[in-house]
Amino acid sequence: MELVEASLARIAATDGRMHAFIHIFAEQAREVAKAMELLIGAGHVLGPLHGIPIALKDNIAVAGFPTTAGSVILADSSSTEDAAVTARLRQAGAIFMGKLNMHEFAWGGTSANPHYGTVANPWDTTRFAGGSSGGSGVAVAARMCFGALGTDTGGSIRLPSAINGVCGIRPTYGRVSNRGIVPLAWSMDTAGPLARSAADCALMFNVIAGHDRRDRTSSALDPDAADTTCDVRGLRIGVIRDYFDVHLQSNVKDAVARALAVLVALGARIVDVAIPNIQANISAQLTIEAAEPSAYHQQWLRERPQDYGEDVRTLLEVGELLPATHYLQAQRYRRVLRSDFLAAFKNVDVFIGPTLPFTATSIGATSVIIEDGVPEDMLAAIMRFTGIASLTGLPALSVPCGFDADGLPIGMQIIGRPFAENDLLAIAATFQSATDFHLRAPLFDAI
Amino acid sequence: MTDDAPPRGDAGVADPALTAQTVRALATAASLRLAPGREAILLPILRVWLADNAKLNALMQAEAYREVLPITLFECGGNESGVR
Repeated sequence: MELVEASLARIAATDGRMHAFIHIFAEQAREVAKAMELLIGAGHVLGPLHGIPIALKDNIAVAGFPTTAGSVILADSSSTEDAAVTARLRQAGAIFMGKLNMHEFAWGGTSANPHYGTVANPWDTTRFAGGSSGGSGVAVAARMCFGALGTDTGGSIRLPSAINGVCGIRPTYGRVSNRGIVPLAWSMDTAGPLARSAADCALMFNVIAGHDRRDRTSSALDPDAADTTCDVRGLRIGVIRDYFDVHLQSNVKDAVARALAVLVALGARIVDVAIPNIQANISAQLTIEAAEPSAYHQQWLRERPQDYGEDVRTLLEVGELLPATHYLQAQRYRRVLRSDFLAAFKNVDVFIGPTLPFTATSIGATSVIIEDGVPEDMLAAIMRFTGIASLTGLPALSVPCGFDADGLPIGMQIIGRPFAENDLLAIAATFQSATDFHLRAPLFDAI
Repeated sequence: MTDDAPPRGDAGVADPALTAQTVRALATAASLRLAPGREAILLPILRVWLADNAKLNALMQAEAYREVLPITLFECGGNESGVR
């Protein structure tokens, strides 16, 4: 009960400025907490998350509550059944604190939501929270809950993780069930945890992962849970210097370089890798991520276009007008890119680079300056590094690795082989055992 | 150059195809009724995206990639081996 009351107090004190939550389950959480206490008193523990306050992005169904996906179009929806991931968390004893704000229909990277409020960054409330799982990143960073679920199509777990200074993992495509989650792009959608540490992420991940025979995209492969730390001596870290190491804000470049030095000091070694034609991943990412949602939203876009936020409506309209051949070429390119990465894994164990090339910009910005004072389109810039795992289906996590001169978090992305989530989490946990970035929290007096 | 003027391609040759009228015609063909003025919003985005896609399309025409299939997703039954 203390954990729930502490979370509710934190939400009450901070969420008026953060807009991390769409629905808060205060009374339900208290009732469940009482039941959990009775169970423990009787010697029963439901699972590894027994009594732990968790919140869920509002495109993930919780039975009996709306699943708005950050929209007004679904504002009056009512889910009759838990999403698969919700059911697994519930069975493990998690207490749901509420549904988290997000970029509308997950189609954006800022969580500037015109219907439920713009999610603000707890490190600086004038800055954006990243997205589309912005509420998830903020709720964890601001200590409103102990963990959160998000979804990641083009980077929507990893981006708010990096921007808010928490750990988040996008699993291998098919590793976690998508059943009961409002889709964005069917061929790239995944769900995963955000938490204060890699160890907490691992705890949540191993609860939600696993085959779901009711989800046709779910993999039948069920790897065992592994140790939460590992010996990185001999770990071969692939660095794609002409892509991951160029055109970055200097703070980001320096932080990732120092993080790599930490891992090298622990015994890892750097292997320079080149992936041919990697630059084309942005076009492929944007094309697929535009065309698939536009197909899903066809009816609503025709019947009630005015009910979308301007940015999402624009992207949906653009997606309707892309040639089918462009979509297919993007899907062919995905196979090439995946093949190139799988071949590279013969010589490296993981790839490491920045999660994104810049730190949090001001709320409302549609462009970002990375280098030389030149403004660039926000959407393409924000997905430059995260799109790779989305296109290839590989697992990728973001772990805090520093702060910029303004005290804003910087994230490092670790990409692994298919189904290597526990290896990635163990590497991140080992990094966190040698650093303290994940232990820092925003100053709540300033909120 | 006005927003409605055709963009110049990589070779400096103007592409006469992509104009506001083109956008509206494509939308009509897709049974998408655009509100007045929407084509002016979509046009600059489409120009950039389609120009970038042209490079990707050209890449995928390379002889080395001639046999590459699109990633597709087949449903997997309990005992079927899926094709991905």
